[in-house]
Amino acid sequence: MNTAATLYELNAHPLIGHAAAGRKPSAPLETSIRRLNSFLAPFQWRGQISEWGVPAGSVARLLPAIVGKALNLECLWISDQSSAQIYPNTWTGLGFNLNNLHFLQDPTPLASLRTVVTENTFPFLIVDCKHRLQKSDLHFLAQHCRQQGSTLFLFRHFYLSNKNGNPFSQQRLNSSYNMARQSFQLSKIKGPGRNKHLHLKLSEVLCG
Amino acid sequence: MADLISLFRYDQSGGDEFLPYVIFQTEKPESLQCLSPDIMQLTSHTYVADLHIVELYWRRVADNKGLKVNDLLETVIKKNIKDCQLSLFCQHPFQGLVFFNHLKNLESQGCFRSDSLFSKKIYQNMGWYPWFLSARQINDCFDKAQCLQKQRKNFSSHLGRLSRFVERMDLREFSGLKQAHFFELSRRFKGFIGLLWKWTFPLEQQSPKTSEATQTSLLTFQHYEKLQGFPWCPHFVDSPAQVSNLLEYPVSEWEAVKESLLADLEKLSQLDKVRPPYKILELQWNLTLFDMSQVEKILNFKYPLCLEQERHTEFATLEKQLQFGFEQFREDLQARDQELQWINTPLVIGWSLEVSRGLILTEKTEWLDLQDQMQNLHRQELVSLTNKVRGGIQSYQVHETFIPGLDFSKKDLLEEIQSEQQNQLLQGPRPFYILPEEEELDPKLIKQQQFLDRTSSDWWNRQDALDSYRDCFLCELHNQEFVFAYRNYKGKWFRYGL
Repeated sequence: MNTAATLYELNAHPLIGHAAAGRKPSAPLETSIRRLNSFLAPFQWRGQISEWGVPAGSVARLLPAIVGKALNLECLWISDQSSAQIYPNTWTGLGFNLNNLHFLQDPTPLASLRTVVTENTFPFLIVDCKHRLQKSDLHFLAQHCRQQGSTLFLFRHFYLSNKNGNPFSQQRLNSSYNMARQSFQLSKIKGPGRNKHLHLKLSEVLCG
Repeated sequence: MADLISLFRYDQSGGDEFLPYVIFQTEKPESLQCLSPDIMQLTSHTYVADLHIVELYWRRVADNKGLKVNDLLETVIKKNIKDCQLSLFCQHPFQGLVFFNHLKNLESQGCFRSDSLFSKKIYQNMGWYPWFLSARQINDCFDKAQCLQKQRKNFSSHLGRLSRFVERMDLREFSGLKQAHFFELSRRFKGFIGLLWKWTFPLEQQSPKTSEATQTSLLTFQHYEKLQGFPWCPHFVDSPAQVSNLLEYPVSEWEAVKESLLADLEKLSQLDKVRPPYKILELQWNLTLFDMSQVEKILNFKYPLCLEQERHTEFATLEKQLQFGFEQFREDLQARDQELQWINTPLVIGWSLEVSRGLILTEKTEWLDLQDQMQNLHRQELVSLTNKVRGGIQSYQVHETFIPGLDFSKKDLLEEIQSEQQNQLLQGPRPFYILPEEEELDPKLIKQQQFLDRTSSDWWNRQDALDSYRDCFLCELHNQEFVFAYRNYKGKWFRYGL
């Protein structure tokens, strides 16, 4: 009884209570691919950083994009691509509502990213940058995501490995595409159900 | 004729298109700042305002109020420029001046548009008197501003020759010469007459290549293109608000600059000239470097910014934009002085902040008050955020066309897309990014490919119809990279997306 009262008081504290909001269970993921839902199910997206290993020029970005769509949150896609232009038709094809999807193209996105995170305008951020993030940057992002209950997808332009960990992201996944089999492979490096793999056909993913 | 003029109010044929210039007759040019900061004096009491920089803003206000932008601007003129009896919205300042002089000659009153049906008819049947009068007025105006001096040499005698030519040919209306191209008049009556002729019919004399370019070009370039070589001579009603600072010691880091800069912004916000109802559209930051050279940084704001409101938020928006400007300036200077190997290249010893453009929005109804009027509070945050990030936040819409490059466009952040536009399912993988121009791809680099589709979208634009055939593939390269590429009918490969 005494402990419960203490916990209640802690939650009522403006700072800790705010942080606790980030840990509030988020709704389960609902893509139309059941196997993908169950593969990612135990993970709480809200207030967390998910790190995706998707090398540059990889069609495997489709998987995190589909997961992002299923979260159904207003999203900002931050990219440091200055030589190429956003092609919004791909997003509409995946079922994104362009009213809720915005883009920020900045060759040096760190300063803008800090502003975006601090302003807390978007509950869902996708960072698709070659730019190397320092530990201090990741710490800053993780802290703000936790406090504000926002979701962040961090796309790495290389495959992630168990050898080099990242304490600031709660889930690390590799997504790859096998052209000969026309299938995707999703591997979990960190998070609930780590070291598991999921194979999905291209046709399944496109309908997801 | 007076009865005919009164019919203008009932003519709804034009009116949807945004006309970028407006000509007024007023004795108080300072009141024109309610509409646009870009004003040019044509004659002693006739001014022209350029609405390009504020077009987006006025469109947004009109949307918010459920009005047409032209109706809104007419109301703004009526309310704020009290002594203005006659105003005219037009495509080009000179074209507008010709029509304006004609209307003035008829002692007409009210607000007119050059694209309405009646205006077009009147313009077609207008005599030469207003044209010659406008030509002399523009010549006097450029005389004062010392523009186009070479082209205007012996202008009076060339104009006299044109006048005699018109009499000899018995041309009563100037539209009788409409078919003549401007370079033909330039050759016969020298350059300036040719230019005037080009500006008399700005749409007809525009080459197709130019009109294509104006659709895609940047604001400043677009502005120049639309003026078609007409030199814009800005009229300054008042000296701009300015704060200067000569630092006690040189600085090169943003953190060191920030403190003094915020103090200067505080000083600037207390100047009478920029106090409400004044809103900032452009801020000029002139930095003085250790070698006494000057570097100019211009900050533009899509939505007018109130310094008083900014002061309450400790200049959050301005601070961000100034920081981006400063970082860019550092990078540029470091790149410039790379060979000199100086340790701290951009040592700043002082600066001045100048409000170079702004709007005076006196009546609350004409001000897009984000706090009160925007239905969605989140949109207000979006607008605020887009001022704070480098490059701004972009939003897109897709179009129902299969022509590559025309199937999507950028949209305004506050614009809603209709939901039925978004029901196009993905049939195969598509690129997330497309290259601005396709790049030739060496087929030896391709490890394996997956066929996606065949397109032949714009065969009607090509001399060789087969050239439009494109077999699109998803290609895996030997370096494990996936690219979107197409193969043309000659077997050449081109990379178009990532």
